[in-house]
Amino acid sequence: MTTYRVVSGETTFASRITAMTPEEFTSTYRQLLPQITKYLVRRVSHSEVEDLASRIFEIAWTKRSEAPKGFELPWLYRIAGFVVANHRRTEKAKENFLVLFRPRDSAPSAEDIALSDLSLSEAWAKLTPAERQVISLSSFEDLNNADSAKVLEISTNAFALRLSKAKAKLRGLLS
Amino acid sequence: MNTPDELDARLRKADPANKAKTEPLSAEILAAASKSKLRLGLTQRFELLSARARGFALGGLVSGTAAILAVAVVVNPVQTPLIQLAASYQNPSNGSPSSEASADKMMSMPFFSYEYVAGSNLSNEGGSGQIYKLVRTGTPESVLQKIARLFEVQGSFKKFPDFSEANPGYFFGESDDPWGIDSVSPIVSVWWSGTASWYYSNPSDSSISTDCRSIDAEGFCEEWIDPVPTPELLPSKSEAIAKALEVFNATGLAVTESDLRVDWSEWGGSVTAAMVVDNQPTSIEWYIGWGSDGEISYAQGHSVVAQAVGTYNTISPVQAIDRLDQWIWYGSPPSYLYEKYPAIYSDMSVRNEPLVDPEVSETEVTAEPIEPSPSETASAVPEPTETEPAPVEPQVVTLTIVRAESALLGIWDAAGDVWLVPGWIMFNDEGWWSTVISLIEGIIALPDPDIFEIEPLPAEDSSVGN
Repeated sequence: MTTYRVVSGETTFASRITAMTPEEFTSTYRQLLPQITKYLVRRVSHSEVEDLASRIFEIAWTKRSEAPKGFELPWLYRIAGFVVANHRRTEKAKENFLVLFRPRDSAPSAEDIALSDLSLSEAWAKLTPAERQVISLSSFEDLNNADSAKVLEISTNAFALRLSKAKAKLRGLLS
Repeated sequence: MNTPDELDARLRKADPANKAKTEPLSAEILAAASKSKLRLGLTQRFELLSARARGFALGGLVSGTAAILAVAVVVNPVQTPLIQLAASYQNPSNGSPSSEASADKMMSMPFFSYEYVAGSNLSNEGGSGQIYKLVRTGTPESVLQKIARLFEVQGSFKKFPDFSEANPGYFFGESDDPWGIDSVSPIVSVWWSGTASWYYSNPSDSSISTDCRSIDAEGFCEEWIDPVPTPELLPSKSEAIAKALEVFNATGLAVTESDLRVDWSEWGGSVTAAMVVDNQPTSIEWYIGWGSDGEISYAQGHSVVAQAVGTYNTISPVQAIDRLDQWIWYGSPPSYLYEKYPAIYSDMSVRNEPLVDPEVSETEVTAEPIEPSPSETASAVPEPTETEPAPVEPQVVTLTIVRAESALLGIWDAAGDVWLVPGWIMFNDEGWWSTVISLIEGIIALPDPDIFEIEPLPAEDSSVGN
């Protein structure tokens, strides 16, 4: 578990990251491009992937001092979740402004899954956004419970319980 | 399609990214990002804050609801959290409201993971409740002088040997060594943090005799003399009640006989009473006890008053269920609950039995270890690996919360002060209960949740040996 302590005489982690050069930023996050690509492909149309990815990494650059060392991918997923959710709300709010007050939804939609498995898609549509989110982090993004918990800012134990409940509900809907 | 493995396989197969024919993003996107002059708007900066920081910014608003739709009945809206919760419930004083909290928090449950669901009758209505801060009254010296007069203790005012600003302990008595084994004179002490808990201790009380009747050749006792109670030395129950009322009322706890819990036997007894705030019993208790010789052997109380801070919104019992698996939302309940609903202890003793393979009987266990032959050893013992053993997955137990009672719960803040905050006592279908602070998010600044991570115990490493 990553914690940060200021040690007398040592440069803090935050100050070190603030000094990160563009080259270091590219080197650090280049290896995560495939995962972010797939994250977006699962949630938005192909034509929107590059624009939203640009947004995600612009935010990551702006807030690079807050990136937790060793947990860059969960941290990026968290940013990506906000970007996707805001994108969806912006699109849907053009039709109905009350959408702005609904819970944030950044999980793959039922339509995203329908191409592969129609009955799974129907069951998926009956899950709440939060339930879809925990299952997608585990099954699609393939994160372990600890990293998934970091994306959602909850304890690992809490994530494990939410995932267990969500999968149980999904199995029930499929049976 | 009912097994977890089948579902996992089906989900992996249905991954929308599997059929996508999108080119991977170019690294130029990273270079372009580092050149951007992106300025995050207020909404974006707010959303990218941690959940805790968002709670700070919003104050009393329920998460996910815009201000225009929120219904706030908060008397004192907060811009910053009112209380910074202590990262640990460990505290320097005994008999504090958090002693049960410490015990409960240290009850690690490595083999069980609880999943909570709401019963059909559980309320979905939030509300509001008063927060109280427990403010210390007097000074360490004035408190000790009052207690010393009450119990007729002679001596002088001193600091404990381990005194520090974080652990400010004082005592009054004849001995300079309050913890010395040869100390026989009574002392009174106080810890000037939290509820300023004070204690009277009379070590000269003759404990139950453990004399030995006969000793064997090696010097060990063969036969102990059974201790005999001396009830004729004890005060009567009514005399003990009268004394308790005198001590409690003289030290700031206004109670009558009906407020007392009396535990009396031929060996001795005790009288306990809880501080009541707004007609609600709390975990702050006074206590006085008698030893078998009829003398007061121990007493404790607090030098504190409850100061109302304001009324704040609270969540419903249904909403509180989400907090049950996060121990940072725990608060110390009134002690009467442990006596009224003792099932929690019997439940824990059942749950904490060691996991054994029910198929293995004792007769199958070999008495002597079997040494592998050299040829077996060479192939049977694999090379040690650098991978960690797989953690033991906890058994998930589903509990239905059947009802909830409101209560004032005790919590410690990071500055060493104690607060009484609204909470729920959540009763489950197994007959035991848990406590949850019911204040909406933003009133209390929670400590780093990493500190309360419950790590599963690693499995036995079965890759070596045998």
